[in-house]
Amino acid sequence: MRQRKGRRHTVSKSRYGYFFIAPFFIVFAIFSLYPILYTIFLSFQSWDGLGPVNSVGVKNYERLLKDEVFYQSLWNTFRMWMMNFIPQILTALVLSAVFTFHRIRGMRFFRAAFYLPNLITAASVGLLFNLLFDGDKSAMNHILTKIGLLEEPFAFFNSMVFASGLVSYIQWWMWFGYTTVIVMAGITTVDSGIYDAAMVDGATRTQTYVKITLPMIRPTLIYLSITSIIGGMQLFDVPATLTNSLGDPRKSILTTAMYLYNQGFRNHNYGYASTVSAGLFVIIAILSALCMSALQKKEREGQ
Amino acid sequence: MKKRMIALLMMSALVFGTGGCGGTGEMPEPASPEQGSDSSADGQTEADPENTGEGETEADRSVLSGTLEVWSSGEELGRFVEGFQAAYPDVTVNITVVPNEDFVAKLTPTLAGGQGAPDVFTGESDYVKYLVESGFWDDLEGAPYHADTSDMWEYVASVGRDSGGTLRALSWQASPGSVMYRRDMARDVLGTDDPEKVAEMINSDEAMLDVAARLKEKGIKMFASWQDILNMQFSNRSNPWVADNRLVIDESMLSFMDMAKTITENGYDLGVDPWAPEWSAAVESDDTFCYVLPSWGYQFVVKPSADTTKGEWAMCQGAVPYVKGGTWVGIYKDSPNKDLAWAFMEYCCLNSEAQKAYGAEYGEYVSLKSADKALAEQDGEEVLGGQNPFAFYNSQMEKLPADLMTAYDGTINNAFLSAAKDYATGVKSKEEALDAFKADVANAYPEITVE
Repeated sequence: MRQRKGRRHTVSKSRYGYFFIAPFFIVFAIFSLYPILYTIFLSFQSWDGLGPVNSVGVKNYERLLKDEVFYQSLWNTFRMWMMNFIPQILTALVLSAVFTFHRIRGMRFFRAAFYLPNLITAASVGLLFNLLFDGDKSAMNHILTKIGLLEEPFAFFNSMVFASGLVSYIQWWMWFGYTTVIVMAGITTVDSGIYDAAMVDGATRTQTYVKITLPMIRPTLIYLSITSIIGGMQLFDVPATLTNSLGDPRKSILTTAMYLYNQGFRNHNYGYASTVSAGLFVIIAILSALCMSALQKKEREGQ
Repeated sequence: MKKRMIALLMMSALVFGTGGCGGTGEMPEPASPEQGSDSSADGQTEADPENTGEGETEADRSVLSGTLEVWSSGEELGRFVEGFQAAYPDVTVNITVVPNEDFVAKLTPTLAGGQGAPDVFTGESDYVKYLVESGFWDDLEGAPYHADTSDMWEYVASVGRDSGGTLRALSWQASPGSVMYRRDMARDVLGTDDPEKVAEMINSDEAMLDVAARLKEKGIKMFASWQDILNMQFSNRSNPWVADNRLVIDESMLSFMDMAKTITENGYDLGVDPWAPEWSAAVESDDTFCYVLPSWGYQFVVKPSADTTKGEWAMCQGAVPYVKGGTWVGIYKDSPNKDLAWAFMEYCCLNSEAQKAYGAEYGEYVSLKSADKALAEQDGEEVLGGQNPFAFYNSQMEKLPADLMTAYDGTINNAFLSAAKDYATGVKSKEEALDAFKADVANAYPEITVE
């Protein structure tokens, strides 16, 4: 009797677990799952936002596959992400090595200072850089002509290479501090005994870092790459506020998220905008999978 | 300081006016600082003929109560609230200002869902036709509104009509165009600062470029930005962007591209986009001659920034009379507060007295002929060296071409400016730029035929 009662007690106890996780799933269902499903539904429709919703079957997807602007925006987004992520991860690895293995005076200050740009709203950063570079009399043109680096003012925002590079630079500037902090956190999880053993074996500092630290923080690097690619492929606010939100000059900084925003909220093609977002979802899923498998493969080879 | 005094006087006049001699119109004549509050109340006895049914308004005023939700893409509509609430003390008006950039993005899901939709919402010229055609604005000539637009400038009312001729929206403002130029530079280079004479010197695109060349000799740039000229060229078209579902590139748009190239190559402008800091700062510069902007440009660009150049500005007609921009307002078709909504709309858009007071205080050009004509009789603007902008705008409104707005204008104009810029800066040939423009339009609106 008593035993049975006890068992029933355990069974009913496990139910409380569901109560505790329920709030997340309820909120998720209302604010994430439903919109996602609705977006997929809309991607098969034609809808101007106010009129009736008409089903168009797979026509939107056919258009997407042939849409040059979509491919261009994907390439733009990916290029700007790569150009920011590689320098960002390298900076973070170097800085975290310096901070962890050397006693640097004012290390806390530097760490905070590097992290600071991350706290500014991305949209205002875009506007800020626009003010620095836009126009013949802009601050940058003024400085560069004064010190003689430029003969005459340069139309920065008429150069596709410059605009795209500037977006990457801003992204790097905003995010390398965050990445450094995460990498440093990863390094502290490495057992110091391993370092001691390496020291006894006569390993140099570089060898220790490359052969021990890097392999040991691989999970951290995987995490950083995947979150960065998901965030990077959804890049919106910096390029949108940097120029006129159409991706000027000549769509060089038009990201896929900007493209779908313009299709939906400016041109009132909500159906097609949903299709673009579904396309972007597939691309991000593929890139994340590639990223994960590449890093995990290395791990298997390493073992 | 002076402005605040006027506002205070007006408010006190209003309180006395409505309390003392009830029902002689919602808003008093704009009181000048010299006038006492009682004399301004007297001034109301000559009520405007368009201001229909004094008794009816009085009845409404005692009956109407409740809360009105208004969404506006700019601050201006909110300026009417104080006067309105003085006339309708039991009505609360909640104005939510959503920046124009995000207005449609916020509005459409709300309207489509029907939950929490505002009773009254605005629509800017770039997308007003989209809203007018959508059917979410009530028919204002039907019951219970029976709007009478006979006193409104025809252009303003015509924009508020959908393709079937139903009146969906009205406006409290109109935005006739001008070329706003510096008197001091005009005297130096052109030998006169008289608006009529300057207008004659710039009465065509070629003439404008000739003047630009003369200014350049003296080291002055004629325009703040060549992109401003699109405001004017837009009225110079004989075809809308889209007719019979086809993209039409009007002849005047092609000549605008050439003009943009000439200006850029010769350095006749500052080489910045409109609204860039340098563009706005040109108001106080010593090397920029004019802005090609409509009435809102005077309101938001020249007037607030003019300090040392006060009195050195004037406005005249450019190559063609034009109109650009403006904000319209309509009533949500399923609003539960249609009577309140209409009272507010009538007050802003059809009440000549209210518009007169508004125009006098803020200097904004309004949509009723009677109000604009009365305002044209007043003293001129200090910034404009005594010129009365209302008198000038009235003359422009008489000459306006028909309304060529479409629901696609916002997107198409932006795409066109991008293309024109590539051509002007020499990155693309005219054909390449036009091809890119056509591709952009086809991409944004697949339903439009682009050849």
